[in-house]
Amino acid sequence: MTGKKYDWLLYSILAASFALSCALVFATRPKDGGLTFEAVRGGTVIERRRAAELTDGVALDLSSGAMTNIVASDPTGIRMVLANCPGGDCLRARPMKNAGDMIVCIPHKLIMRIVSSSVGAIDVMSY
Amino acid sequence: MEYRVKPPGKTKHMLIIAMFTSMAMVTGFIESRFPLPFPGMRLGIANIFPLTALILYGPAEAISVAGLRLALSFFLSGNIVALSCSAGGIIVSLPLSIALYEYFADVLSVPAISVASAFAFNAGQLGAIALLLGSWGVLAYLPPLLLCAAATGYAIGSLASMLARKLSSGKQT
Ligand SMILES: [Zn+2]
Repeated sequence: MTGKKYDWLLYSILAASFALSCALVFATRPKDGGLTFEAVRGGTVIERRRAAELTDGVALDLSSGAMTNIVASDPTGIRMVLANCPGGDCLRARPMKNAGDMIVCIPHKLIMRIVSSSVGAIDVMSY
Repeated sequence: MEYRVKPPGKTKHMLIIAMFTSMAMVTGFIESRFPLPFPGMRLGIANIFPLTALILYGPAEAISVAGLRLALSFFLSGNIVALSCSAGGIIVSLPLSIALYEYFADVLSVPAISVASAFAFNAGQLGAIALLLGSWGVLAYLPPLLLCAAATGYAIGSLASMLARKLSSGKQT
């Protein structure tokens, strides 16, 4: 199974689109300095605070109407501890600790992430 | 088009599509156990079967296998998030593989076509998740997912091409 005549062209286009996606992520990275915890529901930021404020034992209620989502911090990081979404995928997501980490609750249109001035293409890759 | 075979009898043809679909479903179930950053997201290993169907028979068969797999997996799991993700991925990746294979198979190898298709599949899945969430923030995950796509796409393309060669030589129709 060998390559064909114009494989290089297709691979170049794909490599270029990869580079473009890296550049876009890098260019649009938040620049607020330090680690920040951010929660976005349906495109609107509903919570933003320094991640350091979310120390062990502190719980944060991000519920809205009938949608329950409560996050808390423990030594492994910040994670969802209570949610009534169907499936409960967000409850099993890996705790967030570093810049670029993210937990989503798709049924409740909720994104939680940790951002920092150093969030770039390279950092995001280490998830 | 080097491995394309004429479809055998109608019953046998339906049987082959059913077999491809069920293998894609099993593969899809297994890969749903791989942890990816977002619930419902897949590596796209099950795409090997629509791709093999495309190489062996043509676009109609590839669409049948991909579409049936999508529908049946949804009826079995009832997971609307996974359905939206896979649908988002397939809607962009399948037409791309079909166009590349049908018009450029002479100058593009199957693994190369498969890598392009895997790029589209992952971008489509992430796009579907962004739409579900109503936010483009998740697109920060595009670069690492494209890197995954390069590896899985190449592996899938090589396997599909091997599978098609074996199946086309073992059958005289
Ligand atoms: Zn949830």
